[in-house]
Amino acid sequence: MNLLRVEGITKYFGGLAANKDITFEVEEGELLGVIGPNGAGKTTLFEQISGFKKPSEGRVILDGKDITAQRPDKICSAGLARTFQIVKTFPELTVLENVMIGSFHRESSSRAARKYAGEVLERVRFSHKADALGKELTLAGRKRVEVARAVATRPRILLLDEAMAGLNKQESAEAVEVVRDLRKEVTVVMIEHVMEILMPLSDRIVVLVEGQKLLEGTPEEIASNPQVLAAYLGERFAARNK
Amino acid sequence: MLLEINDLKVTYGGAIALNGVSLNIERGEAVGLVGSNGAGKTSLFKAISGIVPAEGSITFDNKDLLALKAHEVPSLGLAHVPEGRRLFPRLSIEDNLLLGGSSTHVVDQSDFDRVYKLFPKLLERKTQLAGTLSGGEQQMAAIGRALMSRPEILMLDEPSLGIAPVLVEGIYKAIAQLRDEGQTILLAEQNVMECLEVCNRTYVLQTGQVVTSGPSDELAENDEIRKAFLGI
Amino acid sequence: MNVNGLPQGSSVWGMVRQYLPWVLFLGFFALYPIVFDSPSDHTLGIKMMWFAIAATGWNMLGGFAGQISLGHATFFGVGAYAVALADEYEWNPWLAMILGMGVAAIIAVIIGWPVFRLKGHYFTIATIGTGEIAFLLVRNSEFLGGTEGFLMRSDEGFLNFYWGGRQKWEFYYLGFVLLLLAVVSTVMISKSRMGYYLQAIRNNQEAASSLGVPIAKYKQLAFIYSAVFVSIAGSYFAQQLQFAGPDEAFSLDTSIRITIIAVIGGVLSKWGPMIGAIVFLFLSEWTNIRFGGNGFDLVIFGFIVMVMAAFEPNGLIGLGNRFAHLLEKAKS
Repeated sequence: MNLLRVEGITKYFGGLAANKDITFEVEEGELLGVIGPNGAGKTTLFEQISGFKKPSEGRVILDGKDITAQRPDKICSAGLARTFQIVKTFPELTVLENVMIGSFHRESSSRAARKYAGEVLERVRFSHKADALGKELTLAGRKRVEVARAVATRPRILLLDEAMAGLNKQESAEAVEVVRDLRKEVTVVMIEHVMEILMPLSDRIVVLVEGQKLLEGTPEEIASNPQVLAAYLGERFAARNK
Repeated sequence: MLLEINDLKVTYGGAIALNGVSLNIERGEAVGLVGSNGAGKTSLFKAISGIVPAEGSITFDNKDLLALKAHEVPSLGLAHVPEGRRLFPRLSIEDNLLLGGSSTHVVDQSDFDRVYKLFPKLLERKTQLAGTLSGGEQQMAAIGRALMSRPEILMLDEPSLGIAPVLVEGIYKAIAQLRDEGQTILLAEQNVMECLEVCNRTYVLQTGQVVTSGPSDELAENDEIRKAFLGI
Repeated sequence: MNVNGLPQGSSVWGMVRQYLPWVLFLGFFALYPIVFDSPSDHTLGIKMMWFAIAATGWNMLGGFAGQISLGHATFFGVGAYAVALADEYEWNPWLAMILGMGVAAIIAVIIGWPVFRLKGHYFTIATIGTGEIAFLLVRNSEFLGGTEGFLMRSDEGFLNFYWGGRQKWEFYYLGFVLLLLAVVSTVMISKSRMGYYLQAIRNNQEAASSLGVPIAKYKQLAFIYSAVFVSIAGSYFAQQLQFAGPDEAFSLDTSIRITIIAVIGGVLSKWGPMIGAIVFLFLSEWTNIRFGGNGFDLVIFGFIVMVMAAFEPNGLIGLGNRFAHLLEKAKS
């Protein structure tokens, strides 16, 4: 059975549809990539899945339970955690404390929360920064903390919103390694602009264009699809490459 | 060399937008810049125009651009037509054009003639408020406004963005015409074919770096561009 | 817990850092009535106690959770009126204080329930409103003594919450014990899940809620805690003055004083409210002597708060930390 099912999600802002009738499923253990040009509605979709925005229409089903438009903390309890495209690290807390906020979700004592947060930092290879304050980190560091924090809530499915954008080659290579490790234990859905990273990492890809799902398929299918070529490189380029 | 860029780096609050880009343009050349969203096209334009701080070097006509302030750049002969056009919506087309030239020199009729010859539609509508134009007409007016400053180099950032295909064709005809007149052009585009057809040479940008470059007709023949956009 | 934004080292310096404030503050407060032993000094010290208790209570919500309230006079008033009514009807004032704490908690729930479902600065605005409503209700209620309030006639003695009388060191130490209670419980909370969650809420609510923090619930808990301790301060205040009146207990002026004390000291530290209380008290005594008791002190404090907001949002504690940082840099 699928772990997450997004069913006919539609979101209007005023009269404008940011998402139109988007349906897809995520299997347990899978890594699903979500791509699309700017303004395709990727982040809006994540906001609705994670409870930050209420869909105008449609449903979000997590492990058979309807979690549509529930409060974000309830959705986190149901087993879905996310990171933010515009990073929201807690600036005044240390890296370890940032992650503890996540681990407190399943641990009520500070001692246990601190211990588990330490383990998670180990897993995402960021222990050496445990005592740094959130505001002292580089962008790559902040993104890593966001991932660690989300993992510390022990989710069954992890939504990553551009966890690699804006990083240099070495930083994003490290981040890729972290995601490769994590996906062994948790289902991942990730939005990413950096195609050279997403394509080799993903099992399947969903392409959004202008708020709609254009298609889904394996990375190879997507990369040779004329509609995708048209959306990314222009109609005429796609026509010529047929 | 009219414009020479070496190892240019731009970051926004820690996020890397350009990571060591080098590029050069000869006088009279039309040079293209293609890449998907977030590849760094707009950042490169902003760095050239002095709108965002950058490391590395940008030399224009033997002058160090990074040592100048943003408002000093246009008078050197660089005209930037930004993505989204940014006309003065409550002014007429004519006044928008006038403003484009008046900061660099005394505008005379020949400046207007050049623009109106290129875009006859603007002449028909010269008294109309810019805000009431269609997207394509606004793009024409924005290009026209940039030309009014008699630029050494015309920088166009995604002129086809959000414009109906019919009008895109018209705008690209105008760009080709400018190229043929000897106007130096730097063009950023996502519509790859349009860019390759109008530019002599093209650079392919991917996550802040130039992954390949060369004569446009050669690039059109290989698969590099598709890889740059789609990763595989 | 790292509320001061300083990593705690395991070095001797780190240990000093950690325990020095306890020694300094508690030492100062414990020794104060011995060093300054005139009745007027004791009166001042007692005032300092209720400022510090009230600001410590306020700070759980305003500092840790970042929800600035300008209506805490209501809870201060509840505490004051609880013991005043006890005096009127000859109940035990200690029991009345505890009852007052309960009433304060209930009022906090009634105000917090709707308001915490709003985003942004609505909370601050709403608390000004609820504070004024409470003020007017009390002034117009005959049962609550109207505009006059209550004069009290407590008998001396520990059991009557009037140990040694209003100017005695015994009464001062009563306040000291209540302050300890406030500080120790604040420290305990700050080291618990709730303390971490409140800081997460202050830092970024969206991120906190994505990590499973029920925002409204924790704000509500912080609000209850702060209401309860401010009401304790109110009870202590009324017992000292032997008087509870609407203008002294329920007015916006009182709310602002409590807020200013916490802000001056530094809202991100458990010690901030105490520093604030000490500084506020001495500065306000000084201005009252220098300029007369016409509220000129508030002009000065308003100015200090503005400067703090612009340059050092973490108040005097923040300034101290900056200074310590400089010292450390100079050492290495």
